[in-house]
Amino acid sequence: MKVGDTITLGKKKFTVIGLATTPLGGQASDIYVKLSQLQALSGRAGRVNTVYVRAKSSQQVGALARHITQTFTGSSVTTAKDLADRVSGSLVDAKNLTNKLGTALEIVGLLAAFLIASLLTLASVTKRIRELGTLKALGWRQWRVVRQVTGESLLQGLLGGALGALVGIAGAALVTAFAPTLKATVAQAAPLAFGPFGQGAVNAGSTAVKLDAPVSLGLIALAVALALVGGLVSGAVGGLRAARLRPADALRHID
Amino acid sequence: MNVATLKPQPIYELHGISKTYDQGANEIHAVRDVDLTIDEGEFLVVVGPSGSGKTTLLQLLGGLDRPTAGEIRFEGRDMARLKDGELSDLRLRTLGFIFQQFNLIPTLTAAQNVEVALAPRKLSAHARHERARWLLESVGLATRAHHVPSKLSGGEQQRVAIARALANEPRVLLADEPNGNLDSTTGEEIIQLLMSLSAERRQTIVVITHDTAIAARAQRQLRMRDGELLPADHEAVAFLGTS
Repeated sequence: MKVGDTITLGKKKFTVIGLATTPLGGQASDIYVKLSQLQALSGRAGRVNTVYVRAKSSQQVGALARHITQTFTGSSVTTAKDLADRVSGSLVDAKNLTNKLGTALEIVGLLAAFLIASLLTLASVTKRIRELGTLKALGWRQWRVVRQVTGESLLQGLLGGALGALVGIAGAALVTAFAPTLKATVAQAAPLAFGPFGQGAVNAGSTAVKLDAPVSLGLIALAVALALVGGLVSGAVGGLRAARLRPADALRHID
Repeated sequence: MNVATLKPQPIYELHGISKTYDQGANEIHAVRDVDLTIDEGEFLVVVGPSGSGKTTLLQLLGGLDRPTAGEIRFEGRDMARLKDGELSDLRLRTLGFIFQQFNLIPTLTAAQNVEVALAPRKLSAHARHERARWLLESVGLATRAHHVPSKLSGGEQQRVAIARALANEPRVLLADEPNGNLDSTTGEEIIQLLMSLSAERRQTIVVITHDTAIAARAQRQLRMRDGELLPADHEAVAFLGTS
């Protein structure tokens, strides 16, 4: 179809005088004709179902909408702000979802730090039972063995926690640098050819939700502290368990 | 059937010592009703086949384990009455252990392994370093002080273990097959070293071994079989070399 063609609507011929592009995300009609002709064709002279109203300033939108509602009983008024809220509302939901996901991952990460530190320490102490038995055979008292194991676990927890924090910060920086941005665009909704009316008058623009990994110092401190506590508790428990063995039993222990 | 040699100054007196382990439904009698006296300064060798209870007896002498029945008196004190902490102190100040597997701490250097035995003593770091250096020198390892065990030969590792055992000048050395993991020449050197060092220090030594040559040098040989000490007049040849 091109300008100059003719089409027939209700046994009446119309000549195409222009072509409109359907706006992205907007609503468009198949054919635009003069209002009076359309009313005559559809047998609804003097009646409309949608009226686009433009306020003189954005401050007047609310008052104007109320005024229209009061004037035309039973009418439904949708302002540009309502439309924008619907779009950005869903974007806020998306942002909240990413935040919730982040919090869940943080909890999982913290638990993992605690469990890994504890299990590794226990496994390490179990592997060293013969060695700890040797220390007892050499005259080390129980508390000295426990102190030694706990001290080592604490140091390992501190070093591991610091290393983990560095890796975490680096990972977060990478995520922030390379993660995609979720972008939502509300396009010009109606062709400019139809002047000030149409959805083109509704908010045009875009909102971006950037997927990032914020680094929280409190969270890092908590993770390091949990790794330390995990190492400390399991070091003390494992050390005590090993140190309470009779040296002969510890020396018989098979790795 | 028990061997009891009465001497004027006994350091160990064992009366009716038994050690039983529960293994599920079975009871294993590792040591059965042993009576034994060991004199101060004695060089005693215990021989016997594997599983005859030699190591268990040595562990009982060292306070590493407690007997199921009987009494062990060390310098007149009943070891059963000693609390764990007191037993630790006894091991620290009076007893020295040498193990077949050396039992060195793999991440520490030779010098640090010796210092481990000195750690519970109230010594300055400098005094500990100096003593460890002197001990390693006395076992011929002055130049290997800063090597970790994996960089030392088996003989060198056992020398470190001997230096560690001697760190607190114990009156008793308890050695569980000290040459068991070494070739015959190195094993001979280690035994020679042990004997000369203990002679200088007038220590009591109890050595467990399969080696007939070592057993022949001992002042006294004890033979064990099935957890029992065999009578002194029992034919030694039947048990030597049957590992």
